[in-house]
Amino acid sequence: MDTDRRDALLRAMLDELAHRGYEEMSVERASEVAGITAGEFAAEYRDKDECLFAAYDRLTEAMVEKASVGCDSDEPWPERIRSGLERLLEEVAAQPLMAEVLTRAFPGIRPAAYERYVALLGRFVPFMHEGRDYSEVDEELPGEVELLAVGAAEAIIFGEVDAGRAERLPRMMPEILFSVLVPFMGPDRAADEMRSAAAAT
Amino acid sequence: MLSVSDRDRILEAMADCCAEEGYRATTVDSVLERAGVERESFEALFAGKEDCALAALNKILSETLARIATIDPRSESPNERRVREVETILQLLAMRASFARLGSIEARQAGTPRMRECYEAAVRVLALMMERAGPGAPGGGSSVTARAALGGAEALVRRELAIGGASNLPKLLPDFVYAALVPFVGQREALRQARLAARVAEEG
Amino acid sequence: MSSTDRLYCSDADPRRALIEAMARSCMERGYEDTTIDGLLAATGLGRATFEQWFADKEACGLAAVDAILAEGLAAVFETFSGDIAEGESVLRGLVALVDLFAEQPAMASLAMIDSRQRMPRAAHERYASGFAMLIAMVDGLRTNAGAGGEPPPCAALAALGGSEAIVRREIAHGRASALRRLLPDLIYSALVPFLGQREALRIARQGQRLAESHRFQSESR
Repeated sequence: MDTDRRDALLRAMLDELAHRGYEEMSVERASEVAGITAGEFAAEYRDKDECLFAAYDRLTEAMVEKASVGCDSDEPWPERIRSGLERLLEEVAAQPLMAEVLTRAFPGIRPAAYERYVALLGRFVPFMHEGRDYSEVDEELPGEVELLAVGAAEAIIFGEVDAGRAERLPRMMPEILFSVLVPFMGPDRAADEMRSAAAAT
Repeated sequence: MLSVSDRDRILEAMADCCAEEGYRATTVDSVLERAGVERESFEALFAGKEDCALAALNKILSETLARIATIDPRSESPNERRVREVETILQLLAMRASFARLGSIEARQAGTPRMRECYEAAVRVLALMMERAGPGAPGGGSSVTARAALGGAEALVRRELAIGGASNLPKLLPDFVYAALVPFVGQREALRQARLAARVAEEG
Repeated sequence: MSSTDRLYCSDADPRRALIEAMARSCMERGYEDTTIDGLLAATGLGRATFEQWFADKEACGLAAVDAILAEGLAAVFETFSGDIAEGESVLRGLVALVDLFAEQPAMASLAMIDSRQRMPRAAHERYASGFAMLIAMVDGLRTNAGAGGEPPPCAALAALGGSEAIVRREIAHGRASALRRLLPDLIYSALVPFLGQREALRIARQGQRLAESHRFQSESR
C-alpha cells in the first residue's frame, strides 16, 4: 500500500470513528471510501484496532509536526511558543471533527487507547524545557512544570472542542499563552507576553 | 432492607472495572461478579450501568471537593492550610486509584455525556474555589487562569493514573502546589510554598 | 445592598452581566418569552458581545444554571469540613447556601424552578447533576455517623429532596430573602438520619438562633 492510499484509509477510519462511534464503525466502509480492497487491508493490518491505532498515531504526528514548524528558528523561546500555539489552535479550529476524535472518540475506546492520548501530551513537553531559562528566580523549578504548562493549554482547548466551539480557539490564543508561560516566567512577564500577543493579532 | 455495604461494594466494583477495561467495555455482569452481589440488589439501587457509574463518580468528586474547606478557624496560615488540603486530596486519589481514574479520565473522555457533565460541574466548582481562595491574576480573564492552572494539575494526575499508577501522586505535592499558586502569587512565593510542600511530602 | 440592587457591571464582566440578565428576565417573564434582544436592552451590550460568549439563548441559559450551581456547591464545600460529627459545619454549609440564594434570588429561581419546567431539558440535567453531588456529599457523612445503626442508602436523597422542595416553594413565592427562617427545619431533616434526634435538634436550635439574629439585623437597618 503506498503512502497516499494508506493515508486515505487511515483518514477514512477516523471519519468512521467520528461519525459512527467505535462499536458501529465499519472497516469495510472505510476501505471502500479509500479504495482499498479487503485483501490489501488484511495484508497491512491485523484488525480494526490495529488500523485505528495506526490512524491515531498518524494524526497526532501530523498535529505535532504542524505545531513545531519553526521551532528551530532564532526567535526567543516565548515567541516560538506563541507561534506554535497559534498554529496548533488554527489547526484544531479548522478540523473540529478530527479534534473530537483526538480528544474523545479515540481515547475513550479503552485504557490502551487512552495511553496514546497521554503520550500525545507528552510529545509537547520537550518544547517547554527551554522555558526554565526564563525563570525570574535562580532556584530550580519543580520537575513537572513542563507538563503543567501543556496541561493548562490542553484544558482550555479540550473545553472548547468539547463544547463545539473550536472556532473560538484562535481568538483565545493570548489568554492560553499566559497560562502556558506563567509557570516559567511568573505572572507579570507572562502578562506582558499575553498583551503583546493580543496587540499583534 | 438494602445494605449500605452492598451499595459501596457495587460502586467500588464499578470503579475497578472501569479502571481495568474502560467504561465502554464494562458490563453490569462484570460489576456484579466483582462485587459479589445479585442482580436484584443492583437493580434495586441503580437504573443501569450509567446510573451506577454516575453514583460512583459523584462519590469521588464530592469526597475530593469536601477536602477543601477554606473556612476553618483552627488551622495554620491560609497557605499552609492550602498545602495540606492539596496533600489530603493527593492521598485520597492515591488510596482510591480506580475512583480517581473514573473521575479524572473515564468521566472526562471515555464516558457518557451525563458523566462528562458531572465531571465538568465538579471542575467548575473547584476552579471557582481556587479563584476565590487567592488574589486575582494580573493576566487572563481570571476564570480562564484558574481553569488553566487546574488543567495543568489534571494533566499530571491523569498521566500518573494512566501510566504510573496512583501511588506516586503524593510525592508530586510540590508540583501541584506550584501550579496552583504561580499564576496568582508569582514564582518566588509559589516556590517557597512548593519547598514547604516538599518537606510535608517527605514527612508523609 | 438589597438583593434586587445587584448591578450588572456590564463593562467589567459582560458574560456575567448577560447571565444575570437572563436570570432576571426568566423571573419576570419566563424563559420562553425571554429574548436575546431583551437581554441586550437590559445590559446595554451589543449582539456581537453576546455572540462572543454564547451561541444562542439556550447556551446563555445553561451558562446561568452552571454558574449558580458552581457557586452553590462552592459555598457548601468551602464551609463544610467533611466530618458529620461536626454537625455545626453542615449547618454552616446550609447557611452559606441559603444566604447565596437570598443574595441572588433570580439565579436561585432559574436553577430551582426554570430549569425544571421551562428551560430545555439540558438545563434540568445540569441541575440534577449538581444536586446529585450534594446528595453524594451528605451521603459521605454516613461513615462518621455512629448514631447506632446505618441509615438506608436513600437517606440522603430523602432528606435533601424534602428540603429542596421546601426551598423551591419559598423561592417560587418570592421569599428567597427569608430562607434563613427555614434553617432549623432544613438542618434537622438533613442530620437526623445520621446523628439521631437529640443531636439533630441541638444543631437545629443553633440554626434557630442564626435565623433570629439575621432577622434582627435586617429589621434594624
